[in-house]
Amino acid sequence: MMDKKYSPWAILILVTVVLAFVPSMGDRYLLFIAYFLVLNVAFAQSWNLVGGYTGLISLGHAAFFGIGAYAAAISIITFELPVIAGFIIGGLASTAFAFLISFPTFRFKGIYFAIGTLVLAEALRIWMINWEYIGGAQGMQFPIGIGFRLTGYFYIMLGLAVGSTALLMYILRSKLGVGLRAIRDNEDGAQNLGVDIFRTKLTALMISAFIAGLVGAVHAGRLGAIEPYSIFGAAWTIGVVNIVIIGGMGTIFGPIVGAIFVTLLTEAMADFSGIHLIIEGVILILVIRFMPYGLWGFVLKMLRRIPLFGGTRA
Amino acid sequence: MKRILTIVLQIFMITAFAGALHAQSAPKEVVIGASVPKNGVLAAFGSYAGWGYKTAVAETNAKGGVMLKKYGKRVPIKLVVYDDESRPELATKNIERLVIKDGAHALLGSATPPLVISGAVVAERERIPMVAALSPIRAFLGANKAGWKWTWNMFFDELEMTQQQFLTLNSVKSNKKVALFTDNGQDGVVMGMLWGKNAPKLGYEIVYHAKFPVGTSEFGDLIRRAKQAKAEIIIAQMITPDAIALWKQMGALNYKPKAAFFEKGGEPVVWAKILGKSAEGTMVAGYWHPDLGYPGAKELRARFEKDTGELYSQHIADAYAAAQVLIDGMERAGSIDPAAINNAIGKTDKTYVVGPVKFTEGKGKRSAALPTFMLQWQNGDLEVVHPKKWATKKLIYPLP
Amino acid sequence: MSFYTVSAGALNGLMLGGLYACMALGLSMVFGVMRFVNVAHGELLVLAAFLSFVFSTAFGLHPFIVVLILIPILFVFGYVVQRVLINPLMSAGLEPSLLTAFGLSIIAQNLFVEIWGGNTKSLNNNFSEMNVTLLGIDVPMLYVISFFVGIIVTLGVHLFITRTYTGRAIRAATQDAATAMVMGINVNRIYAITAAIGAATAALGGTLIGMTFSFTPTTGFPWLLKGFVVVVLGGMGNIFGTLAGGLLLGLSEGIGAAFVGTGYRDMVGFVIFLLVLMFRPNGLFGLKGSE
Repeated sequence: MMDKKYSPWAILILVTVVLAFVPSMGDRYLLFIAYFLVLNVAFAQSWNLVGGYTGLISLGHAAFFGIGAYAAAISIITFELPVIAGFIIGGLASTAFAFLISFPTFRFKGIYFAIGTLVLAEALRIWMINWEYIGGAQGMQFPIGIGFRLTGYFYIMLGLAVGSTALLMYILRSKLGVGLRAIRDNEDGAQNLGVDIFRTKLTALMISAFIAGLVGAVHAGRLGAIEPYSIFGAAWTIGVVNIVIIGGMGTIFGPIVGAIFVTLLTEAMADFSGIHLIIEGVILILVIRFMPYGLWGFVLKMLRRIPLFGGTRA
Repeated sequence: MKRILTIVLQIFMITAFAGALHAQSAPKEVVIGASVPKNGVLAAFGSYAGWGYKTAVAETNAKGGVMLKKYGKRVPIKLVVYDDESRPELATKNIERLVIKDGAHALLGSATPPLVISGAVVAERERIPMVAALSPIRAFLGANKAGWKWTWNMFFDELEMTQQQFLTLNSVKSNKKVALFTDNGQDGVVMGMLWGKNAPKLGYEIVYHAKFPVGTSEFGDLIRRAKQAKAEIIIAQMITPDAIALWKQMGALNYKPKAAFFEKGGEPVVWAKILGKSAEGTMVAGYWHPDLGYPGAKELRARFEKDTGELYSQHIADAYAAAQVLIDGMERAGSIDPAAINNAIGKTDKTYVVGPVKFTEGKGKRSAALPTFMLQWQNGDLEVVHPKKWATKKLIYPLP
Repeated sequence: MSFYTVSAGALNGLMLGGLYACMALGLSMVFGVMRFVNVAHGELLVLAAFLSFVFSTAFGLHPFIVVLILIPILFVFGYVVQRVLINPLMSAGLEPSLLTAFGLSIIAQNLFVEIWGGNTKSLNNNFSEMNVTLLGIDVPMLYVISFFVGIIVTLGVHLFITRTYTGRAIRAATQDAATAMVMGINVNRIYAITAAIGAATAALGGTLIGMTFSFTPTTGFPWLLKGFVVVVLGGMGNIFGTLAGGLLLGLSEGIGAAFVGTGYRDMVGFVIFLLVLMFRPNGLFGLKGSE
């Protein structure tokens, strides 16, 4: 998919540098949008690894996000651990959850994973709502003043977005990456090639969950108050699936393009919350039908037609 | 190199697009921001709150705006409202956007504790004053142990409100056995505990306490247990959709209590609309009624019903008064300095459409309790049935 | 906990299970016949409930009369959506159709909000507060009705599949789409008819949900999840399995609530779902391999 004439690392560094300067521009609204942009990028890359590269359509990604948020909140509020330690525990808790659910959901090819994750995420949400130790439906509040300033949260989230993108780029060139795509393209074929299907899928899911858990943990810190209905809500899953597919699943920069598109659309239509989701849904369906590699794939295809960007006209 | 340039250009275009979204607030207006649930399970409350805020602001603007002494003139108010879809994390995001993008000088709260608290957290962090309505006081205060500094809350006090049910029934005969149905939201937990405490003091016995999560739709098991415990009185604290399901299922399971109180859930007009005749006689504690004689009360009801074609709700008054308290605070501060407005709000002492409003003193109190009474659905309208001095109709007991 | 609460929970749950079967039947059929995981099935149910609300309010008709109008409407709707949006993706594997349904579900939820607002609605009817006493246990009238509707719909679909030419063509396409095509069966049309029948059963399911419970634009999601539990329990695409799965889920929820409390009632289904997925992946009654 990736055109050789593009250096993905150069693009990543460039985007990072530009975003790193956002806080110093002094426009707080830009920083506000940029924070949600990098949050979406990091979360989308987490989904992209399983959904885009391994062919495991996760419809329960909100669970990984929510577990990260809650594990961090419990560590920081109840056990009074340092904030950063709480974030890392958030990521690890989510990874552990991924490990647990792999047994029921990986036994069967393809579609059970989608249904299984959808149901498991909801089961988890109901569990969290009932669990009074963590506040039940009332949720948990961080003591006011704990944690970072908005700029701090932006840099942490930027780090997660860049880190997860770089990690994906690294994985794709490794043996693991070859195995993932082999499974996605043909699971039986991959098995014949000697890929350890279960282990490869598990590794991908655990890495994905780790990223999602970290994102949830950091966002919980920034929110300051969390409760299970919205932290574990399907809205997070809907958002991330939209971003990756619209941007281009199974491409490195697709999720970034998708995140830019969805973040800006959401902001532009903040007054009409329902309408932007309708627009996203329509675009989603059109993209699935006509642009299997999303907006980013489409852009690359167009660029290749221009001689400057290398491709022949074919 | 050209490729890199193109990419830089792309990024700049994106940044520029984002920048274009940023609307600079004109210096000649005061911005008040609010987040309310227009969708989701709390949509009914959001529509009342939104109307109350809008109406109070429109009235002030009709006079030319809020009088700011510092500039020696009236400045029009711009009210910016975002929808939080009943989702607390969106309430947080909305309040952030209101402060950061729209440059809100002051804020108004959403409805119910989870949404109000999620927004108030931002108000505290950003040091922008917020007046919240529609969030019971104890649940609100309990959420911030350190005490709120920038958020003011005017609503009823759960302790007083959780006595009204028993006091209302003192005038009639019952077996004094009560079944509680409380969800696990802030209100449910706080009020469930208070009813448990208040009942024995007032001579009632809680024979069964059903606890369940918000969003429950099948109550069969809980109803059977309440029936087996021989409770003649049920007191519930739950959101409207759940409350409707519970009341219908009680009917379908042949459980007919003599008195039924549906706090929160039984209040919006949807309750009476969907249940029709079976809503008749159900009760809900209230803190406002248009016939109590506070200035402008009757007119407010009439205006709402003319505007929307719907039956009024008491929440229009609380939201309307909250916005007025905020605007009066600004006038007393005479400027748009957040700290000055915050101080001025604390000095509120005036009778509004909801009655006298005065915030309690002391660190982190910052709340004004509105007196409560009991309302009953009679012929599709809410009537005051207790205490006697305020009653607009006689109590229907037992339930038809 | 007494014997009464458990047995009453069991009986009530069993009756409600008919509703579960009815609302999950469409989900099961489209998966069984064409491996299409319709994650928009919940919205289909809610659409039926909203349309029923509109018709019954506008014409003052009973929801059980309105459903006779709804069945053909949803039949056509299901047919068209399948033909236009889903069929073209059938050759591209399982994911594109699933994700398209996901998109449809997002669009539908938000359209409902735009059209009918976010407030709770319920289908008013004279049955909703009536009750029946069976074996000395009070059961809501609507649960009893649901039980029989579930059985009748299941039998009806079964008869259609086994006794009609189109039904036999559906079975042929299920077993081997390529061979069916060679035999001259228009597989695209068969798929669309399957989706149409599925949508028509959702008209009944949605009406029952709207009458028995209440609904909002976002009610579809929890029902979709329940639907998956039913379908996995009964075996994907197994029509009698779906009925059995629905009754079993109702029964275990009813008993479960008596033991673990109403708060965890929905968890009961999910735990069963998990166990079945782990140990009996073809459903409790599954015979042939479902992958």
